[in-house]
Amino acid sequence: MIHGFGLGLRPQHYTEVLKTRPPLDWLEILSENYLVPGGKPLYFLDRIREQYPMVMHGVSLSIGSTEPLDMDYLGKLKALARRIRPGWISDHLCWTGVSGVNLHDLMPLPYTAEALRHLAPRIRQVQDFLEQRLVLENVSSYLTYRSSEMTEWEFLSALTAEADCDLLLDVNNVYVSSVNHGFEAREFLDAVPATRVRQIHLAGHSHQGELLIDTHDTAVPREVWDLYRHTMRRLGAVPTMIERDGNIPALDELVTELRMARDLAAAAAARAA
Amino acid sequence: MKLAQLQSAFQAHVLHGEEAIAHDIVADARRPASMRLGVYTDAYGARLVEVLAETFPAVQAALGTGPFARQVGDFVRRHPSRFRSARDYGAQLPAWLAAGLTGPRAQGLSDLARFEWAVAGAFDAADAVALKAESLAGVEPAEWPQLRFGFSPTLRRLSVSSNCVAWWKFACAGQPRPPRWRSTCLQQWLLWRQDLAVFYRRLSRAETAALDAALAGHSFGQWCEPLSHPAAAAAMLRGWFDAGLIVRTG
Repeated sequence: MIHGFGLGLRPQHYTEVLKTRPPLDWLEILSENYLVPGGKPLYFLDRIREQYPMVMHGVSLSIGSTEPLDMDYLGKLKALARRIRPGWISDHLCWTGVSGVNLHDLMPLPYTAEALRHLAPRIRQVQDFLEQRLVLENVSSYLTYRSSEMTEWEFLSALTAEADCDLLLDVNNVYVSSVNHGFEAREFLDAVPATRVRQIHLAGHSHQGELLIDTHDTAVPREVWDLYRHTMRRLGAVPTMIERDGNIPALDELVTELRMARDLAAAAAARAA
Repeated sequence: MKLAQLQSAFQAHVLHGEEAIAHDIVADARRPASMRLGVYTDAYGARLVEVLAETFPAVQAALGTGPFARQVGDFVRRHPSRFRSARDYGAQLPAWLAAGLTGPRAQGLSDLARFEWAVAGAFDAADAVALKAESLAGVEPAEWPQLRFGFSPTLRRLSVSSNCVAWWKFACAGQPRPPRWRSTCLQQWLLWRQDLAVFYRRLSRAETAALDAALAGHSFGQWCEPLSHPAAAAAMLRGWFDAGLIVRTG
């Protein structure tokens, strides 16, 4: 059972995690880093798994692509899940390529009825194969399609109901997209289906001209903490973690930063009591 | 625009700069479609160059950061990734480098890229249970000529004809000064991982022949026959066991 507060496991911290056993309730692994035959990644994965519960987070499922699902990839994902028995398996609500190409990016989907009709059976197929409910993350986006027929939060609500999947709510992504598209982040956070939110991501971003970019290379900024506080007041306790992928600091710095999430969640719980 | 058409058009923009997708992007004067699409186009190239820089740090050091980004950026534009994991992207880079340059430096960079690709392959190749030389203690003398050995999945063989390994030591193993590129006679190298560390060493002509024959499945009797002395074969075999190269099979 996953609860409380975690961090994304990064290779830079393997040794320290084992040596210092930081006060973390769980760790999130990047699934693709461990879909390898052997060596250092799997060596440390097994040893760290003995100490911490884990969840799996992927970037390659390409659930929104119009290409057929990659069953070889899913088979490897399932084998990894058997190995570490994760709390859940997540990926992103996006597509990553077509015609056999992988853009290695989280490409945005149009929020249309057609996309819903395309996604729902694919998600159910993946859930049947993995024998568990899939957890999908809202991505940061830098453009909106003219063909979109609804808001992102309306799309998420419809999709979770139709596909019976759960959500990984990335609060930083909500903020980044809200600035890039000019919507109110709190409207998004107030509208996502509360019972579907299985996990929360917190992260930092950077400025690139008129746009915000989801870079995960800074500390969680004030705007994201404010939205997290707002989210906690609505949702109550949801397993929360900080994602850091660039300028990765010392582990204890991230553990300290995570205290802010613990404090905000505790304050929200006290207020609700 | 239908979903499949939208995805094809967007991908064609990222890979080839085709403009059809721009008509389906909400834009204004402050944030035009080109700016919004540019985030994805720029990220694609930058991400794969970054991945290749992580896989080929010595090639990057040898070329210089700017020339590496240009040369490898050109490779990325011409080679869309077809790999689920970005880790697998880069197998064609050594040949690309060889084709794009001339002189000893071209050969050296290509060799260096192949050396780094071999290191990357050994790093997370499948694990196997290494056998000790003592596991042969019970083998009857008459059975020795028929013995065949299983080798570690991490083992990589490499032929180079440049001083690329000196460049690798400079970039990755702390050697203080960059060497001058030079062509050499054909050198045979062996790379492998023992536990979590990747090792490499140059092979003699005799060991090259013996090891390649053993890897091809030839029996002990077959690969030790050309050697001048039985003790040489025994020493070679002992070295393979001690390095963790011989593993349990089946």
